[in-house]
Amino acid sequence: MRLNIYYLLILTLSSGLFAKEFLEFGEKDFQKKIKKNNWMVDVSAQFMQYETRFPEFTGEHIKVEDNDLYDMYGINIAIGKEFYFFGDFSVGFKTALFYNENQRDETGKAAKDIDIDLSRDRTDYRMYGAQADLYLNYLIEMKSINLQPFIGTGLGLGIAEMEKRYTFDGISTATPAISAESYTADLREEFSYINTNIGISFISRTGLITTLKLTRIDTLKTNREVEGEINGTDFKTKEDDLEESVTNYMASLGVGFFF
Amino acid sequence: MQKVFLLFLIAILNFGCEVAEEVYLYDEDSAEYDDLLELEQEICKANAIFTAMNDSKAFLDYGYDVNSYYMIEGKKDGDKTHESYLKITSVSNTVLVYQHHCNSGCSTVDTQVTVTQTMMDDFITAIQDGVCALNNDLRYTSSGLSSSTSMTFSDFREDETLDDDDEVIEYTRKTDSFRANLTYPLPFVLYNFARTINSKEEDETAETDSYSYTITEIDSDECDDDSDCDFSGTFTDIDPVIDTDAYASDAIGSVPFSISNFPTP
Repeated sequence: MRLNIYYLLILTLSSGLFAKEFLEFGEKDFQKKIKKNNWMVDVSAQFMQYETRFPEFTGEHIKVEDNDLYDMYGINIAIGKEFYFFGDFSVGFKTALFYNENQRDETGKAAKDIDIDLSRDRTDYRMYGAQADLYLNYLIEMKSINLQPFIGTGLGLGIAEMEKRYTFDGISTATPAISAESYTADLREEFSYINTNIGISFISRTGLITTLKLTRIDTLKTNREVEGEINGTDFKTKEDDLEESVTNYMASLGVGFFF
Repeated sequence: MQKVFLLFLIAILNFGCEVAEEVYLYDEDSAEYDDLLELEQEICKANAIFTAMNDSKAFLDYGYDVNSYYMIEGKKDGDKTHESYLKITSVSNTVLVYQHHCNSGCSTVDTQVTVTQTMMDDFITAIQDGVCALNNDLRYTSSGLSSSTSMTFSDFREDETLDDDDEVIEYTRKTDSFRANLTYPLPFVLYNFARTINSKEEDETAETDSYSYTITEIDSDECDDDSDCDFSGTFTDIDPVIDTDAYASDAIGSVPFSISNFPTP
């Protein structure tokens, strides 16, 4: 997946970075053209907590809650354009692709001085999708740098895929023996969302943009599939026309440039 | 600035988010703690090297050949002090017989050992129970348990004399490091070990003596009536002494196995 992102990124940026007719990235006299309705591209690192529900399970050393939050980190690549319509006010349109993921891997050792791996709990989660955003910006030109606070809103669609694997080998020497346990769940959710965000961009006099942004995401989950097994018993559930609403928050830091 | 942008991009893509951690599920106060020690011992005894040792009890099937020759070389502090030879003279699936020809340092020049499966069981028990003993980490340390061909284990013992202030004034610390190589019959571990003795007597400086015995297979062409590797004599039967409880003894002279007529310190 990561290789695919590299490939996509190179394809997306190659035209912008090397096309002759575009404003060259890092142009010395960019400040003169700052209100010329420039195109922009940016890439952001983002952190969010995604709320979802695996089938509940209580084992010897694990408790899977019905509702849980999962930390995700990811990347958002956007391309858009600004339009100055009144003085220092502008509106910006952006379309973006995003990919978030994380893994958590916990090995349960028997005890500090007993080197036996008794349990393994691994969760892999990823989400990806696309969104379109609209921003209202206000440009504050300063001597060394420009500030551009903004508010925005957007719509998006995405898919979340999560895999949870837990095994516990049990303690056969205990009386009575403590049984082995296993829990496997593969979850897939489709969702749409509306986001609202607030942030500030720092725009250098050569066109480089650094952006800090906080986003509230109101997500509507439309369907969910979960399949797996608990202690050897298979399960599979599919929920279509799901109308489950959750609210998540996201923080992001991005860099970009005008061209 | 293009570099800044691209570096930021690459940093994000390479951002390793994986959180891998280890947790301890129980501690010494847990009700399951003793059960876990037993489990650790069970797992230890199920290691590949012990399975291979048990397999090697079928001597013929395991591939030990009649008329295989081996040379034992002994050294003290790096200087050669001993050389003798072994020859496998008889192999069946249940009994293996080998002869030991010793030109120097042995009370009897030619001896013969008959290895039975019962004796093999005792060898395996002496190693396995020591290496896998509960709470015995200080005496026995080992490596190669997951190997199916060789392992080493060390037996550490010490004897200390304390003065009235509980300060050590005299000591003897002995470490035997045995190398069990299953390409040779397991009892050959008797001739494949190192011994280090650190000692200090009151008001004397500390001393260290290092002994090493290694065994290697040699070509039969090297052995004939005119060589040091001469197996034409009359051989006297002897048996190894195997102490399956040696690991539990604190005595400095206690060893898991030994054989008379071999000039060990």
